[in-house]
Amino acid sequence: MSITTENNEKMITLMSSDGEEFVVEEAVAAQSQTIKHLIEDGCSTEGSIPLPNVTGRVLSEVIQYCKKHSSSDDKEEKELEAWDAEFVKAADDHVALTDLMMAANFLDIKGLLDLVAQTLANMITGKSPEEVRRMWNIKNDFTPEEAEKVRKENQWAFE
Amino acid sequence: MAEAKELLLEELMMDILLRLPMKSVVRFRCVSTSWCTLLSDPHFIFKNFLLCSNDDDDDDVIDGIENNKNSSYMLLTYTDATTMKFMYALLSQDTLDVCLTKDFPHRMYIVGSCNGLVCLCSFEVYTIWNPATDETKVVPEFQVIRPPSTRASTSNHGFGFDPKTNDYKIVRIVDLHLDIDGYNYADDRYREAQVYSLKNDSWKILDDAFFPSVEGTPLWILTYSYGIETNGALYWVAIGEESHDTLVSFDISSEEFKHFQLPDFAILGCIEDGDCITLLSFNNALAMVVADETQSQSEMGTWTCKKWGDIFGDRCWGIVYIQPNYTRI
Repeated sequence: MSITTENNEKMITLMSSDGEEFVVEEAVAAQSQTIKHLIEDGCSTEGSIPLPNVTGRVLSEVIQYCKKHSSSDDKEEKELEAWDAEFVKAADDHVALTDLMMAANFLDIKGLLDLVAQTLANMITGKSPEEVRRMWNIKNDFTPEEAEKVRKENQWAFE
Repeated sequence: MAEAKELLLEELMMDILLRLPMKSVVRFRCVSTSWCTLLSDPHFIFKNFLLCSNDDDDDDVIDGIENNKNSSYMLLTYTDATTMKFMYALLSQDTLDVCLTKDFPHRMYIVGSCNGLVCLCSFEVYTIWNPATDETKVVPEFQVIRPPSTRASTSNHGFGFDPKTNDYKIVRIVDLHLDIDGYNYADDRYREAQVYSLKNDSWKILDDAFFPSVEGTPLWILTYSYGIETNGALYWVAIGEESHDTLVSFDISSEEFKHFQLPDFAILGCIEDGDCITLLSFNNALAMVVADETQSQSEMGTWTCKKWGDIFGDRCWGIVYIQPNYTRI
């Protein structure tokens, strides 16, 4: 189902994995290459577009990002950068950021993917291996001997 | 579903890790065996280097010892007075802080450095060292079968990067002597160029790449010197026609030698004395410092050449710095 606004802007409806519906301008949604292709294939004409991998909470953040980035032009680059910085700051913890990155990956929004990846990279730059393991539940599968050897070989990076 | 999520996370993790400064990359080898494999892979290291060195943000990462294109480093060699070990120290060009020191088992000469990799040489054995990861690679020796009376000695060498094949190469110019009665040279094959490719981990002789010559006599590169690397080519100063100094260059991609005349100011100042010319890489151009001892002053010019092939058509010397009372160190 597609409706048009008074500006003649075509609206489409997106549905999150938990059944929440979002009505957005087509130009905003088309920031996502995945949605753009779905629209081109005619998926938006039969009701809402289901996005089974993205929850409503994450989708609302993604839409916020897409709205900002579809309304700004190149001249406002500095302002947009500041907005991006605030945007990722609001998501502040690595779990929310990881969810956002997965959504950006699924929806194929390159700008958002780069932004979140860089934020997460900055976040872990100064961390210890133990802290990184805890962040993403990564199993330490080294034997004690191996662990000691790897640690020794790369000792300078701990100093 | 949980498994699919894990797999996806692994894929995305790569995107995050590629953005890390090298010190974090090396530290995170301790996270797990799969991270260790990934973060030790030369392709990963190279991609990480490219991504980080193209990064225009100046506020993102910590002061890693490489990666940041705004940081330059100096490599010093010295002998530690107490341990008597040969030491290498990496200094930040901005602050002169020592970022890293390392000792090697024996003294090695610096052949060149490129993209953060340093090539060292000791007794004709080359070692490639990455100070960022503290990894070293000993280059295999080139085994050439020659007549027993032949003696080969390296006269010049250089180290550079071939952007076309993403490969690092060492070029070595070897003099071949016949040892029968003093110095008899073997026909016209008494000078040979050899190239080592890091990617193939092997040496080869450049059969077709004749060393530049004037009327059949190869140019003699002055002094035991390493080539200066700029924009994909290596440069040396050599003696050319009528004993005038000339430049010899080697294109790292096409593996060809060329030679060309020095600009007038260099020839006027330095007839028959190559020692007063120093080549260096300056702001991505080839530069030379010419000391004119009769005038007690020196001039430095830069040779802008974006592409090696254009060097004849596009050369442009500009004197960027003149210092009276220049003293040679």
